[in-house]
Amino acid sequence: MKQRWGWTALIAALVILGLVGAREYSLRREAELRTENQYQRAFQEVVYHVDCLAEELAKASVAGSYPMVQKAFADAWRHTESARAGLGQLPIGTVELSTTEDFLSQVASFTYTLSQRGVSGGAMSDKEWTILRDLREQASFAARELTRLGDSIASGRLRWIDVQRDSMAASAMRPDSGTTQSVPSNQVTKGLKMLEDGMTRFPTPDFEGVIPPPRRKLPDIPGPEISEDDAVRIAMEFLGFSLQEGAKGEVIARISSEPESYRVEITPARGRSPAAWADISVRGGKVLWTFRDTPVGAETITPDMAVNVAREFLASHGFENMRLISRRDYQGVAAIGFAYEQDGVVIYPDYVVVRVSLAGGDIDGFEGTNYQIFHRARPLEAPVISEAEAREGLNPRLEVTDSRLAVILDDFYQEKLVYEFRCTLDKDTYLVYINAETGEEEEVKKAEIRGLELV
Amino acid sequence: MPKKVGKSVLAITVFVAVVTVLWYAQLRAARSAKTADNQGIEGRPAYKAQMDLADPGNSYSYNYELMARVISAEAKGEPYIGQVAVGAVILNRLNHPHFPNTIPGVIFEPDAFTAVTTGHVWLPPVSSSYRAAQDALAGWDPTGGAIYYYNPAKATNWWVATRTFIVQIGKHLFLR
Repeated sequence: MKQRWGWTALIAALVILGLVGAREYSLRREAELRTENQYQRAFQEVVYHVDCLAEELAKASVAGSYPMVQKAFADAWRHTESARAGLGQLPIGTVELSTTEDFLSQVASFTYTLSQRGVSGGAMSDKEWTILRDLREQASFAARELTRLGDSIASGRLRWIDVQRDSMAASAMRPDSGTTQSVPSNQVTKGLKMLEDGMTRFPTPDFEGVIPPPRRKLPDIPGPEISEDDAVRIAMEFLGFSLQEGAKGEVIARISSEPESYRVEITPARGRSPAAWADISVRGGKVLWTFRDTPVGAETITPDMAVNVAREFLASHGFENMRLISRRDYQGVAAIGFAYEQDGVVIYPDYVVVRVSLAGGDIDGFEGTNYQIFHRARPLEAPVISEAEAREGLNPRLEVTDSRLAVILDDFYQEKLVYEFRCTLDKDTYLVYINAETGEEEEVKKAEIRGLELV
Repeated sequence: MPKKVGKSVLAITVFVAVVTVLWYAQLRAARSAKTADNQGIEGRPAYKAQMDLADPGNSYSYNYELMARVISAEAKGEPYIGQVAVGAVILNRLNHPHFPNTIPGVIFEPDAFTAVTTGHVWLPPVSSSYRAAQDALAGWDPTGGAIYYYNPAKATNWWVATRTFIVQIGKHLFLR
């Protein structure tokens, strides 16, 4: 009797196990298919948008009337951004695609700039025409390669899930282990490599002055190279630590960033505030930034008081004529922005941020990389147009509450003298920048953006 | 069949049955926890979007909640400056032509962040990570412009090790 019970229970358990297993298998298959379909969609969209991009660039070259050219550029820009977004959704992190990615980013910048040119730009210059022709050829090539890859994926047995697995296997290989195993390759990685290799064979168009550079190159700070001891001394002096009180400073790294810097770590005397860090430029010995972990505690000062603390800190550390430009309070900290003011003109490129702990009112951080690199006494030209003339360029529906002269950086990192108008529309405040030379509207900014306030 | 065999068959059967039931219950719990997680995120009114105006010449919309989650999951055992550093890498990627140009795009790029691949990003974030995200947005970058980082002690992605080293913060190596 007992034996029969035993067998029945065993068979029942096996049946349950089998059912559970079957269910798990089908769920897993379903999840994999969903992922696979997402990848398929992302890839097919990349193919589609690059194909459309090539077509729109061709249209822009052929069209004669300005609105048609502008529409073609605007559409090309939209397709480029969509292609980039799709590329970012594919499991191809270990495939080298930097030339292709650079290409897409340059096309986006070029087509956007030309679509925004408006009436003032007029016809394309010879240089822009040459760039357009080069980009068009490159886009057609990319579209052809991607279409071919898409066809081979559609007809083949390759799944993106497998590409994902190969990609993870490739990234798990230690480059320093000297193994002979080769990076897993499949139709997709091969196809993308052919695309990338082909893209590198095209000449890089000369974009100088045509499209804004993607980021500002930070020059080195002039001056002699300082020693590590100097760096420690400068950092401790700036942060108000003293050797006599038992604080220790040490250079923990020499960092090859822009500009090159020493990282100083300061350990205060036992039982005092937490450790602090500072980056001091190797040349010139300027304090680029400092940082200290804020102790969490009850707030003892208000954000308004923090502004005064920051102001006093700057004044006592050799930053003169600094004007409050922005405020942001978060998690017991106030980050307060200041810009240099020269003859009543706010120089926005020369800005610093001071971080004040609201629990105790200590200076917990300073960010002044831009100021330390770019600050100088500038020869300021007198504005060509008067403030009243500039005001005429504003939207008449705005109510102007304040105005001043300022220097801002444009997309090409060129400094421009502008009138800054503080205006209100309905309940919101905006800053509108009118070029003080040409009267053109340079920029419109919202003065309060969830937490950050521009003053 | 001898009595002994019958007994052991019974024992094995009961064992298999118990293990099966426990395993199944755990799977179900994991699945419902996952669903609850997703609902929690969708149920929120909207991510707290802010703008980075640390540089008055530029502004970037971003997703502060997501950043804090990634910082927490990737660097919660690190010194505070190492948490700010992870936030800075996210922002550096945002402005780099080889990466997507939205915060969710950067964070959800397949295999870009281990914590996203493993799902740890959906665990409740530590509170310091919110401040670290804000500090990165306010302009602090302790990484010297890094776009990659890894922990050599437990890296699964060795491909990044081929990039140019900049600085070490805590256990993380930062590279570009």
